[in-house]
Amino acid sequence: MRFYAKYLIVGIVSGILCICSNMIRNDSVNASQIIFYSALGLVDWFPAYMEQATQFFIPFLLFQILFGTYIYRHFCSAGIYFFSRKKNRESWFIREAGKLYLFVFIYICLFLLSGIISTMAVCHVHYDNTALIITVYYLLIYSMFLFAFTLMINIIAIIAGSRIGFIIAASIEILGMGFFLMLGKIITTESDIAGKYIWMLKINPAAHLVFGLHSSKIKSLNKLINLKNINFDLNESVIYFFTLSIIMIFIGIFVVKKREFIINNRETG
Amino acid sequence: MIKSVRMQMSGMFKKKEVVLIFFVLMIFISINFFNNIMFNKDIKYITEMPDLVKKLIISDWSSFGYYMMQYYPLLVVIPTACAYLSDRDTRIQTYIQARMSSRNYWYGKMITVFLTTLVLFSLPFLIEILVSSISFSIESSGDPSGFNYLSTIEDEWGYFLSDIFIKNKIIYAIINALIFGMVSGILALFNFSVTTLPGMKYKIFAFFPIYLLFYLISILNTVIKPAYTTSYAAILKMFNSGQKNYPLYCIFLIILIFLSVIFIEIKIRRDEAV
Repeated sequence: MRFYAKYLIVGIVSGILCICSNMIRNDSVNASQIIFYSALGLVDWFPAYMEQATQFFIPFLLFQILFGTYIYRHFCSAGIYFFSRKKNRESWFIREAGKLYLFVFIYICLFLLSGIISTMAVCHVHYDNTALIITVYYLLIYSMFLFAFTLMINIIAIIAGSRIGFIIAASIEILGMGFFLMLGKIITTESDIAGKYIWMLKINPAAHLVFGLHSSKIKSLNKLINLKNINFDLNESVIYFFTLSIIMIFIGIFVVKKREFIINNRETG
Repeated sequence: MIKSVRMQMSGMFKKKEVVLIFFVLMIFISINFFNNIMFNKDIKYITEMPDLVKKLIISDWSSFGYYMMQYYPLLVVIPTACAYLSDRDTRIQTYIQARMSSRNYWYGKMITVFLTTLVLFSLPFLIEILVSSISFSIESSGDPSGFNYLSTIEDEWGYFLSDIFIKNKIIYAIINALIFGMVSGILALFNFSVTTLPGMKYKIFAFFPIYLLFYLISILNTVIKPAYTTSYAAILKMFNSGQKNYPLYCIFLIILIFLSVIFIEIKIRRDEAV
């Protein structure tokens, strides 16, 4: 665990670069606005927003690269020695998944904290009541998203190698983001998205990360985030990624139980 | 050195990653080409047909080009990211270095990575230019915006290498395809050279340098807010209307090449010290 702990510094540096660099021109800003901005709040469904979306997305891709081998590494070297001493692989996998989630959570907290603290150094940050609520939603949604996809990389890596794992996971994320940014060509009126095209948002994992599309039953939060008047509750995104995480855990348990020891190490020949 | 490059290139082109990326690019191009056929099939007059060069996948007008550029950081490093890591882990590096000097191996590897990516990221687009030139009329000069020629002619003088475009648009497209390949080659070379640094234990880490590089460029863009674009998608595509600063882009690419050589020299000296 200590070996991987040093990679968390990427979260601190990304938070400072990403959040602070975007806030640097403001004289004062609310804490809730910082979180909203970090949650792709101002990204709209047009290709022109690709750069902004990518900027806030890449820190999570970097985490996936660094932690994509967190569970898989046990299969790489001395796998036979390790697993012959582990009677119950399911409980082992769940424990490792738990540790991975802990790293994810700490990474996102460090990303946010470093961003907010560095922003406080360059402009005046007001704490408002909505900040706590939006932070909770941000931590829940983004941590489960990052956990689900990093676990996916680990599981695919056990079957086919870490490179294939990352390529597949990143391809799904990039495709989702690409489809989302092209929605502006399909959606021409507000009624389109409220009606027949709402499913395009609800199945797309990238759309669940964009807080500017969401709504909330909490009035102060709804006022901040509901820019498009779409009925897309934040709780739906929480459930979406929670379900995805549970599915990944079950798939992981199945793979770890069924997979025999890796004889030909794909990472080191 | 030539022997090293020849040997390593013949091995590189047989790798399944290289073949896979070639087919992925050909799939993108095929979809774009068939989309163009469907678009043009009901047009009666050549004057109404959009310029075939403006409908190529590396043109800013292509929607499939947009998706391809989303995947570009991933596509550009997949073929050659693990060029060193695979050799290290299978110990084939030792065999190759026993037959030629370490320096010849490393510089041969660098040239191989660059040339492989250059070929991989220009050949499919050259094929598309050839097939489009045969299938569509070269005299088509419509603008995909739908505006008539007289309204758009001024824009055409603003494009990169506009003199060549006005004189011969096919040559213009070929030059852009080759530039696309060269830039991709330099990015792949830089990514490869970073993988020779210590700490690259797993093959997944080979994707780290390219994403870190694009991330730092986007942060720089946010902080400095230059008058010209720094988005790779906007720079590499034809007919993109954003402000560009080509001398600066060239300097940046030269810096990447310089850094790649430095990393490889560090690696050579570390190997010699062992």
